[in-house]
Amino acid sequence: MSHEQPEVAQIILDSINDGVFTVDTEWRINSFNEAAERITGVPRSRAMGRRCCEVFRASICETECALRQTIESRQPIVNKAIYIIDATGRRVPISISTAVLTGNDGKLLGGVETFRDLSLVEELRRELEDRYSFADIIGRSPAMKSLFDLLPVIAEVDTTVLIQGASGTGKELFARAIHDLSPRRKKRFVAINCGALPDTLLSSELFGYKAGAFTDARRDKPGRFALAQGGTIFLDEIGDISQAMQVRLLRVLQERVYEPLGSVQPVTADVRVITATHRNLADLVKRGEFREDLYYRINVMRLPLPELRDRREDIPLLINHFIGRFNRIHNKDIAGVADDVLDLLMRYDYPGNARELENILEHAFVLCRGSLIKPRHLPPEVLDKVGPASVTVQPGTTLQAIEALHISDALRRNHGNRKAAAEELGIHPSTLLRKTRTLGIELPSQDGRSSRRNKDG
Amino acid sequence: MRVALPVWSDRISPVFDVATHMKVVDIDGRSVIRILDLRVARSNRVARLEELAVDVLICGAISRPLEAACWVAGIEVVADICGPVDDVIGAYLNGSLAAGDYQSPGRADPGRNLQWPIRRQERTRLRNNARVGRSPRHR
Repeated sequence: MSHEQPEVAQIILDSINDGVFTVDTEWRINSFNEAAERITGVPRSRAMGRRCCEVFRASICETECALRQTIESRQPIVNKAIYIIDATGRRVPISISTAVLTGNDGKLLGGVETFRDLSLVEELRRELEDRYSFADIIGRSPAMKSLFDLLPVIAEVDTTVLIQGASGTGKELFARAIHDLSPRRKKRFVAINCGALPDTLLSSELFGYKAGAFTDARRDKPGRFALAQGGTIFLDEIGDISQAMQVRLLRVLQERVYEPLGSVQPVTADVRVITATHRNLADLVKRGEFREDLYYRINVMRLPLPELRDRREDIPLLINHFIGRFNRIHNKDIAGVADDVLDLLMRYDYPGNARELENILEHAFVLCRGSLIKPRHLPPEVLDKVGPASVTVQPGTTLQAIEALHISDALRRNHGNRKAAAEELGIHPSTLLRKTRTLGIELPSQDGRSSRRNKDG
Repeated sequence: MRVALPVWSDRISPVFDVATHMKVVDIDGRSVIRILDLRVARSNRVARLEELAVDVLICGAISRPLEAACWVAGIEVVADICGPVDDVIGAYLNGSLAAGDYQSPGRADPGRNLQWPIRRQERTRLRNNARVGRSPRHR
């Protein structure tokens, strides 16, 4: 019976669809199942007795071998995403899990590694990613989906569009997407930031000038409207232009003509105008800082862009998108972000929106030498603002315990201010107080209100 | 001639794509003139090999795109090699690298190799084309 046992074990191992191999304490392979043969492309006969790194050829063998970590720490690793290079030189994405092998006497025998081919999952992921992206704009949140549905409709008609969104929400990406979907896509898309230029310079940039119009104007200079003829002009930060410039723009939008500086001949502008601002134009109109007639002229179709903190469900998708892009740009091979980094990034507020997330990840790319972005690679200001992970839910935690964790966490974040904590949790302050009593949550000694009162006083 | 070997714990690094160190060996005839130990950045590996005017890369596993990039850059790739680096250099010098001792168990079968997108004649042609214009010192 005893000599039959290894054969039975091999039959069991071969019936598993995941690759399995075991190593002895010298890292030499002493069992290798059929799925392992299939995924790596290495026959069992060739793998047995060889060093695992020469057979398995994984991206982590050299720097962060999971089996070594498991054997040293005696802690299993579950579902770590890596890639291997199979016998044909193909990079195969896999997920691995490792465990220690010990004898009945507790003596270390080696380790076992199981791995699953993720090629199909990866393909499906890419397909899904395509579905959640629209002309380089990423999102699966309801807010973004409704914008994606609206874009082709807006692109078809030749009206003026006002894109309203905070800095970094992707105003130019949306403008470009509208242009790329519109019948004008074969002509140019010209973008200009109106807030960045003083009035006179903006005027010559937009409308151009004739030779001799001023001292240094030796040659005619076509303006951005002329460059965008037949195409689209994108006027960013339209809320920052002066009243005089507003009048000139109104004329272009109303009569479709303009005069370059120094010219008496009006030029017809066959240009679609897309405008954008981070400011509330209606408020500016009320305060008399923005012309009402221009406001109504540009506010024909309005696209309000959501801030990133209002569509947090898109953050993992955006992280994947940026990591893929930076891998290509920096010729790196970073697999993703560690779980605690994802937790931090999900909790961060992103005053700079998607652009800030992009910058955070680029910062991490510069510092990261391994295959996974860790918290130490993030900019210190992000870590300072978010603070350490507070609520970690272990499998098997009861609903009551999760509730207690969230409440005490919200109270801590709001420095003991019960009203603010209740607001954050979306419950009434009296409900919060009741819950703290029933769940036995100790209220912080510091009360947010009293501290504020003290400060004020 | 200049040969590069990615190294990990005095052995050939298992995967060139993620190797962190390499030895660059200058060879004259059958003797080693000089050995340099270098760190390898994670990015632009092939450009770094080109910069170092490497003629031959002896490595363990290497992904197809990276191998193709090496051949296009005029660098001959001897892949799927394993073992202690000094022994591998010795075997390369006396022409016994093809012997089973240094062949990685993870290598492709000869039959499977034929499906490799850049076939042997094509690799030679790419290499020869790429070498036109390179400094004669390294030919």
